[in-house]
Amino acid sequence: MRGKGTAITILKRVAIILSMLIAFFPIFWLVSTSFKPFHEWANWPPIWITDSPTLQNYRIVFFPDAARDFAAAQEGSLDYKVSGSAWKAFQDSAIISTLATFFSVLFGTLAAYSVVRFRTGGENYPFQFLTVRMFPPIAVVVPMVAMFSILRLSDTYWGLIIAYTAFTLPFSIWMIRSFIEEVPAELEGAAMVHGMGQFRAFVTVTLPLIRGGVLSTALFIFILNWSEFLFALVLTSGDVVTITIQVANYVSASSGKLYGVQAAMGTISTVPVIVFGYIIQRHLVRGLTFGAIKR
Amino acid sequence: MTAKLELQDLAKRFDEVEAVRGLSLSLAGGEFLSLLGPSGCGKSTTLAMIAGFLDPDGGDISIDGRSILDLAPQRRRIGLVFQDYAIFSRLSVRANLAFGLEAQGVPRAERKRRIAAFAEQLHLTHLLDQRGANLNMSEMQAVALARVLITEPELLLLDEPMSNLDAADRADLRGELKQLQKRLDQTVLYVTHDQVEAMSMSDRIAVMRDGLIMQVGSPEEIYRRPANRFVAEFIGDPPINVLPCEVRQSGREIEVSTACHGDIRLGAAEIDAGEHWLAVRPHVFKAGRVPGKGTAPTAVRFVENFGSEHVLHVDYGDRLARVVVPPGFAEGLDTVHIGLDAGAVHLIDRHDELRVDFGPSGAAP
Amino acid sequence: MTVLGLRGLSKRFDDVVALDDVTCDIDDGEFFCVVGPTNAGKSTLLKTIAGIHRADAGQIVIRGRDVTALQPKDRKVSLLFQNIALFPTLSGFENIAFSLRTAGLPETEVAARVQEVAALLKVDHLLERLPKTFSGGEQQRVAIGRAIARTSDLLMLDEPLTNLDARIRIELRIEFKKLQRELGQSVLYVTHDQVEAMSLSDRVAVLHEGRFQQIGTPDEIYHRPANRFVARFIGTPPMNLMEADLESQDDQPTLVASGFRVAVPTIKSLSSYASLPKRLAVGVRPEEFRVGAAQSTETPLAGEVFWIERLGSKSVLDARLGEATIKAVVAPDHAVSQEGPAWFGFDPEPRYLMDLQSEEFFQ
Repeated sequence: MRGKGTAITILKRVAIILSMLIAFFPIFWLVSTSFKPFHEWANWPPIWITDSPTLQNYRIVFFPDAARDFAAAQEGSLDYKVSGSAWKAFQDSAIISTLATFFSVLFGTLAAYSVVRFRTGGENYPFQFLTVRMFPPIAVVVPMVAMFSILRLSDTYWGLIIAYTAFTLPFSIWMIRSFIEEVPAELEGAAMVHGMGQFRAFVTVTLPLIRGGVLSTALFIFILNWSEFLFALVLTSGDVVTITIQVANYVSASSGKLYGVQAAMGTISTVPVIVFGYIIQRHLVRGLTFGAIKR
Repeated sequence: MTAKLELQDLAKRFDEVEAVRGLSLSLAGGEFLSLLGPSGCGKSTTLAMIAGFLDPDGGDISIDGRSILDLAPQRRRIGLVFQDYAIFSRLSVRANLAFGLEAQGVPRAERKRRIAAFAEQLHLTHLLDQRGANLNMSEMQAVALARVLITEPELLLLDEPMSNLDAADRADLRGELKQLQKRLDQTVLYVTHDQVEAMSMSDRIAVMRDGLIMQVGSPEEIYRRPANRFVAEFIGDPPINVLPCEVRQSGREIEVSTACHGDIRLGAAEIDAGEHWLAVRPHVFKAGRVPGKGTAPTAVRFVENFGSEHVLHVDYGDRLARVVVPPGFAEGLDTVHIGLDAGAVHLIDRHDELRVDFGPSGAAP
Repeated sequence: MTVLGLRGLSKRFDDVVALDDVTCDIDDGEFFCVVGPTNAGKSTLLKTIAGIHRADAGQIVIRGRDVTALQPKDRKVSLLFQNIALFPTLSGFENIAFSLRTAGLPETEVAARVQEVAALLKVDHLLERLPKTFSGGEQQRVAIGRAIARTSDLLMLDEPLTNLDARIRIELRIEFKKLQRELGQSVLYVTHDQVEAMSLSDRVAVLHEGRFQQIGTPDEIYHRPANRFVARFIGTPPMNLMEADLESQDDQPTLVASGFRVAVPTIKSLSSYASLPKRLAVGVRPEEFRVGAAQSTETPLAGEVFWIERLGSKSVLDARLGEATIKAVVAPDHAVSQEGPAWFGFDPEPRYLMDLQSEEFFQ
């Protein structure tokens, strides 16, 4: 028995390792490329790990002087925004993503609570949220451009924050709803007969129990916002620059896409996500042990 | 179907907890055996290992002499019914019954015949075209049972199948299940914490506690000759009275002094002199409204009304003892006179909590 | 004095009628039990009284105060929910202290009261721990502690013992009854277990399909059931109900069925005697059958025992008596100890005659 079992176990492990390699390859390539000198970016055959690692790509990202030197060396010119530093892009993305995530989770929690506890909108309401999300964003982008410019929201922080909040809200309602559903209404009922109002019962009893769920929802939404490209592209025109826009801007007239610089920018921009994920990883596992329910 | 089940030295540990500790048990073909014990005693873990949901850390499980440890759950030819009647609520009862047969590749005509026969036996014929969702709990559980039995499993495992039913339904289903099991000669391992279910249906009962079997025996043996204090207290409703007593040697026999009935002579027994337990079933105390021979007066503290009988909680030394009386007996009574049949009491060693046999006594108490 | 008065309380969920014209009064210090099968409307009743559900019609009066429109927190009732024992993120102490703290009591008073309650319920050792480390019985004790920490007009309990092991249930049942007496607390207790209802209560209300079928003392409910449902629901094994024809033989009213012919002279005491139908059902409690291994004047009726349930302290005989299937309870050492022929006898009680149409017992 054990012989057969071991063979299967080994096969399973091999399969897991293979899929991990496939999954991690883009990340490896991203990091690897970010340290490559100019002539190795698009080399054939590919260079897996460079022999002459350089920080030049990172310098271009952060220091305008380095960018200008580089442009001069290429006998071409860089886009004027790119020739500035990426600091502003990080700053803009941080402000927009954080606020949009905050609003999305805040409204999402309240709406989800209402849907679960008061059956707001009837049985099918939550599915309608998802339908909204299924709508391809590209289809609404053009009217939104018009609308945002009339409302003077184009190329502003608030413009993107509103757009992002609106588009991630269905996700956050849908996800948080499932966490609230796991908390028995009786638990709030118990708090209510012991002297609390409904809202206070929600805040003191239910919220601590779904904290993990809310935080993982927040991480998910934050990643969506952080990596969003389409809205950022059409709703901004230079005053506001998000990191995705900045990455796309690393193009030179003579050499085409600056892969190394884009890789460096990409590598840096994954850092906040990883840090955020690390901070809340304790909650990510759905360690929602509801000790209150006896089965 | 009639298959033998053998558990050998079965063990399972979850982190710090030894859920099952070297459990050995064998079921004869066609036997109805209950694993009885409080929650956390390891009975459900044992069942999960037999079904194949858990791998044992040690020991072996075999059906008709062949080890089944290598087999995946679906290949073990075991039927399983849980507490939560898992029937397909969107399908008709007929489709529910056909489900397992289809999976086994039983031809259509044969399916039809077996479903009709089974529905008849379990009184489900009138429900065959109902959807699962329209059944009441008792019917759902009967369908769940039929759906499993119809596939003719070698062994049927039942995990507290009646927990969700009302008392009257439970009483009915007990009878039906037992008779069906006898008729099919089906080997059944029944897991429950309800001693009434275990007593009423089993050929033998294995009483479990903390992953160990305390005693295996017929319901009669378990009730009349409990191996130890735990079994004595677990079996019987209302629960047995366990009262302190003082044991003395008196010639070849022993004498125990009780709080209310003075000194009682029991037959020869191997027990050290000193403090021990006297276990007395509530039905063994004979209560009277007036004093009689060998009775002791005692104060009634509390009455539980069960309709067909009442249970008095009376002073016995510094403890309370339960005494069963007919309804209306204790109406407005503060004091009753209770007699004790020395032949029907159990003596339990205080140190190892095992029941001590004693021979017949020469002299009356 | 009346603690709780319900007047025509009704509640429906969409198409399902959960409570239908429920009316009763619960006295001060009374232990009042509502018993009924699953989905009878028991939990809905408690939640409506507590104010978690709004009643569709009717009135809820607590100590003379109409609370029908008040918020749960203003009703001064305490409710222990089924299955849901404790706030999982709070310690034993914080759980018991919960209602005291929301009421804004000073912390020294809270601590004193929690200690007092914990001692009463023997849960002192659990105060610093989180609920997930408690056993089932311990959880339920702490939950009861939380419910009684702050004095309330009415303590409501929803199946508090249902998920516990049988032994713990028996223990807690008795302790709980003692506690209730000591505190003189008015209790509304909901259960599906007729044993709990019978043994704990001062009065029992049998709830079925949202309606109270009968309200009375345990003895009344057991010995004078109002209808078929109550007769079958209360008592294990349930009451036997056998159909029979009412005939007159030598001017003596007699019940006749395929398995028996029994004179019922006492039937004339019924106020409805003159209008009794020709066909009716007669009820016999399983312990009221006389059973013998041989025919005698006491046991004149021939029957067939087809299964014996041996429960230790008693045995239940499943038998056929003519066309009727009956259950009879006998002592474990009874002369009938094998499946096979046996002899039966019973004295029909006038109060156990039931109308087959209305399924109510004749008065």
